[in-house]
Amino acid sequence: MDGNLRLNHFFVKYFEAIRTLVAVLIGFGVSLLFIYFISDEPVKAISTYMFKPFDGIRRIGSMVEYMIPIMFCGLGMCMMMSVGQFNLIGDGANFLAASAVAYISTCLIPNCPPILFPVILIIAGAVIGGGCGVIPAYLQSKFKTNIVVVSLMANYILILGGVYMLLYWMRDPSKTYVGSYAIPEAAKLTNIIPKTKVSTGIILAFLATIAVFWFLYRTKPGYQMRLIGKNAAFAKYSGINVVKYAIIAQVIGGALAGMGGAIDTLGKYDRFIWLASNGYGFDGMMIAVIAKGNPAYIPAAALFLAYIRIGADIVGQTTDVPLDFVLVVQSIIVMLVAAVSFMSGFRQKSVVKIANAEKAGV
Amino acid sequence: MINQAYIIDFIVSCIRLATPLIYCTLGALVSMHAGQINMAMEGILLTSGLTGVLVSGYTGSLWLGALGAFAGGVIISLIMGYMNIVINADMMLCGISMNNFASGGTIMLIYALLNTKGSTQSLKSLQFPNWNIPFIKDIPFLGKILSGYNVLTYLAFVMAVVVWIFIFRTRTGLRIRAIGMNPNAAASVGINVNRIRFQAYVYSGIFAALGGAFMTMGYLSYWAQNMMGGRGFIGISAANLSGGNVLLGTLAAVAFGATNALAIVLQTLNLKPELMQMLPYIATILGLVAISVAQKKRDDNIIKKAAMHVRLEREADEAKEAAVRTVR
Amino acid sequence: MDEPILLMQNITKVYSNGFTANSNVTLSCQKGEIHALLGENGAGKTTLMKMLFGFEEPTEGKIFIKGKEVKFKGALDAIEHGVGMVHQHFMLVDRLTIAENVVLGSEPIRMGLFDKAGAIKKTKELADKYQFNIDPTAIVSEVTVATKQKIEILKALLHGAEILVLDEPTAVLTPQETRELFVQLNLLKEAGHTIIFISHKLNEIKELCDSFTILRKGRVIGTGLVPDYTPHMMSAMMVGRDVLLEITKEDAVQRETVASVDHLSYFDVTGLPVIDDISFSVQKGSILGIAGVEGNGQNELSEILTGLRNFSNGEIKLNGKSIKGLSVRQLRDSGVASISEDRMTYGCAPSASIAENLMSDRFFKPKYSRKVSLKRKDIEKVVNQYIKDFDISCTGPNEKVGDLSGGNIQKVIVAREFTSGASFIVANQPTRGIDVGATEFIRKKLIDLTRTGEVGALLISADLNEVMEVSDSLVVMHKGAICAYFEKAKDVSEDELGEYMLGIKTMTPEEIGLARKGAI
Repeated sequence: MDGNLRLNHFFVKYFEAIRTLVAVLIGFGVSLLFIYFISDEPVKAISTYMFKPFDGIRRIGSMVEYMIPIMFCGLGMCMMMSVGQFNLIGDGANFLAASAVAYISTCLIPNCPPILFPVILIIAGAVIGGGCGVIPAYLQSKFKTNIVVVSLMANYILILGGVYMLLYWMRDPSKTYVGSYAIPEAAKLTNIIPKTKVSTGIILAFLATIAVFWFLYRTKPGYQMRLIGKNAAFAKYSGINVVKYAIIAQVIGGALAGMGGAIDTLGKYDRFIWLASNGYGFDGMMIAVIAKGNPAYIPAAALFLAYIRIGADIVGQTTDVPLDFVLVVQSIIVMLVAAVSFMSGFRQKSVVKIANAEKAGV
Repeated sequence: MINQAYIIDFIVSCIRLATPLIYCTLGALVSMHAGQINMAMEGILLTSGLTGVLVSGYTGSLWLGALGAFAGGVIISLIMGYMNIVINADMMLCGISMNNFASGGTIMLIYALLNTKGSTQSLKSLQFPNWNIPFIKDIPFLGKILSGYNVLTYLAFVMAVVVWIFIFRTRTGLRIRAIGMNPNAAASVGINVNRIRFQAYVYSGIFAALGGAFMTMGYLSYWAQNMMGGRGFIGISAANLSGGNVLLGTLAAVAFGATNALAIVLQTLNLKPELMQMLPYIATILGLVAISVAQKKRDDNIIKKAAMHVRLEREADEAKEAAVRTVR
Repeated sequence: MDEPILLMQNITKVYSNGFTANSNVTLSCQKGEIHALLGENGAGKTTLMKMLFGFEEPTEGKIFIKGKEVKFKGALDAIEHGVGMVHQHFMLVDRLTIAENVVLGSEPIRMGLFDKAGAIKKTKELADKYQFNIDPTAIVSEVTVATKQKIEILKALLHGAEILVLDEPTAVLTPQETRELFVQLNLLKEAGHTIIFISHKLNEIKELCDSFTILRKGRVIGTGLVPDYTPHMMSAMMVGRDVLLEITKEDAVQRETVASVDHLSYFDVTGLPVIDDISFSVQKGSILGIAGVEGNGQNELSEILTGLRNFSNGEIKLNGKSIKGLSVRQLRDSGVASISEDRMTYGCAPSASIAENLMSDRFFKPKYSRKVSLKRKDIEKVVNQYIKDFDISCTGPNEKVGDLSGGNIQKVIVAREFTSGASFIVANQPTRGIDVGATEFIRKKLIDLTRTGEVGALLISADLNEVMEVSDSLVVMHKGAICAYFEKAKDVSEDELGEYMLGIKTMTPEEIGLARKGAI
């Protein structure tokens, strides 16, 4: 009985973590099911999905590369969530910053000295991202417009803007495909793992994680922002300027997404070639939801997402299964993790068992 | 140099492009009255467009195809309803996730059935015909504007009337509006609020479904991945702008269709297409701001009016009291 | 005829947090009578009615309707058994018409569609039957409060209610409207309906009701026929104290005035004075209590004093300086602290930790933060000290406040407010709904705080014990105005206090004016 009771206590104490884990496992299980039913060679496809991402330095590198932009978007979303706003501008901010960085480096200041070059570009990315983030935030605070709808609409505008810049401001006419001029070598981030495209960006991503965690949990403004997210009325009643800090948080969130776009471009590509968004914004939202808004869990969540994404990618290339099942999996995981009542029945039963045991004097 | 032909083309283009928007707006209106926002509209369009094409392609029947489209919309709504209402996931998160769910799920479905990746062009699916209305088509100028649209376009306007009747003249519509405005009041008379909310999602999916069918079985003749381009969200915005009024919502949808048509026209005038394509989204954001400001004004007025009412009543009472007292 | 139509027998209701709302309550109503249910706030009337209407189930006891035992599982059950509830806060859909509101849930159908005309007809017939003068096509948001109440009654009648429960119906009506309501209620009575009339307006009960039951602290104190009792007798039963709470405290130290209110008036949207020209002052070193039935302007006063509401008529000064137009942060800096009545909304952030909650008004002070970062170790030390000083039962500074018991949550709030260095504390219902231990602790802390001579407190409480024993001086609020002032709270008996609270007695303006002491 004692062991059983211990289990119940453990379950209730770590309920949130357990719930997240179960949701992730269910999602992963669904992905396996997809492959199993669709593929003509299910066993091969499943083993490809599960193990191939670790097969060889190039593949592991792909995972790490993927983590870079989504970590930044995830951190950006953590900032939004810290003040309780569902500002989804990350996707658009990321894309526009990426495009802008290509433009600035190829057309505006192509002769900028090295070291300084990427620094300026990353800062530019942050500024652009921050500017994107402030629009839905400001409209919401002034006019009470729905921040989700506005930010999603704004994303379309920003992405169109980024594509516009590519097509008319920096397109390289000498290439048959649609691409920008070559990004100057001095602007690019150094590659740190040979045979892969992993750049110093991954270091920057981890530094950003530490910085955002420190900011939210160790500083005065971060504290105020989190309090606003937890109970804005109480924050106001305690004398905190809710409007000001809510907007600042979202500017920082947008800036992080923008930085991610800049770093991704400068770390991985020779040219800017995108005519549509890569969906890093939604990925960022997903890992922020799994991480429950805590930057400390972003790297792990990003690794998981990168793992299943690359796995799906490989499966899509080498087997007969299209890689898009991973989107379905991501959606299911997000919804389950966000579902307040998911597994809450089990928790309730445990709580009752513990209460009964206490009454019985155990 | 705007001659008649341009105007006619423009108006026709407007209405044609507005068709899927109208369906989405109608679906969004039902949700709105229930106090919800059906963010999964994009996913509903994508799914219903696909299921319509698939069913019509396999069965060879246009009407079964339409039923297939409805089924697609309902499936997304059911999943959305389960996640949001039964296990209480946040409404916005659910909607956005469902859009991605549909995005990936549709591609998987096509692959499973047709073994192709990305579009159904390999499938011989059917298309809804255009309707050249006899007599009307021969009227100069007006004839070209009123006749010749796709059947689903005419149906969209009929649907608007149906939705109006549904929301404002049926018992379910009354209950939906009641729970949207004051769920406690509804619960206190024994109405099962969650059940009605679930139904609202399903109806929303049904009314929007033909929008997807129009895209794949009218405007184009096939389904391609992510082809809806945000039309679902524009429908939601049009519903927001309407404040719940079906007529205004339909007009808003047509107005958004106009920005779409305008974008196309301006492209021919050498203005960059990407900038033009931004128009509907910019219009949406501006519209949302406008409606917010108007809403606030209206709410303030209601409070003022009610307050004045009460004050007048009270003064009348006090006058009566005084009169009674002096008599004594 | 002797069998009561409604019998709630030996009802006990204990909530999962241990709070006993009703204890062995028996309520018996005859058919065709108007039965008054009396009691202060918190006496258990609402809980009892919740069980009658199926929102809650009794922990013990049985309910009989027309002699048959019933167990309600929800509102629908109760409605089917003929119980109709007219809530104090209307459950109406503002933008629908009266007819639509009345038939909601049992809408008539014609040819598959909602029969609007039929609904209007049905509503009009029902209304005319009982002389309710209403227009079924009017939109609810545009009608008066009295009409809204009639709609609620019609709703209940349409669903076949034989037993009607009206919760504080005249709280929002003018005298003329009240008279109209009584006419209609008497018509309903003649038609055979039974009415349970929840109120504490003794004069109305005398006029309207046949019999009564009085609840106090969850128990039945008395029951009987209205004609046999005077208002004085009923007031004594309602507003008494079972357990004499004796708090030994040092005498108040009368220092300078810390807060003064002069001719404060506050009007609601309709122009009704919710606070009606009140003036009083609070001295450092003593506690001024505000007694009164809830809803007589105390909440609005508390909100105005703490910056949640703006005011225009009158003057409020803190340490001699006017507080008009100050922001919440500025008020706090001027030395105001408060325990809000709605503790979960304004008093704390339940999903934040104890430490985070305790620091919300002072994190920027050099003691707790450097230029950018917080001094976490220092904060933790201070928080641990507070946890000890205020006897907060928890697992540590990082436990989420929402996981604590009600009493401990309040202690966290009190810890923050009482250590804020404020010179004026507004405590609004500080011990409502929390356990005895925490209650005693908080009261003692408040008294000790003032006895330092540096702090003056305003105590607003619906708990008579508390307001009589903890306060040094006492003011009674009724209908937004001050109707009594007692320099020494010990000088007044609960009977007398009850009469002032219920509006039976009122002091002269000279006597009331003594509440405003001091030149500034």
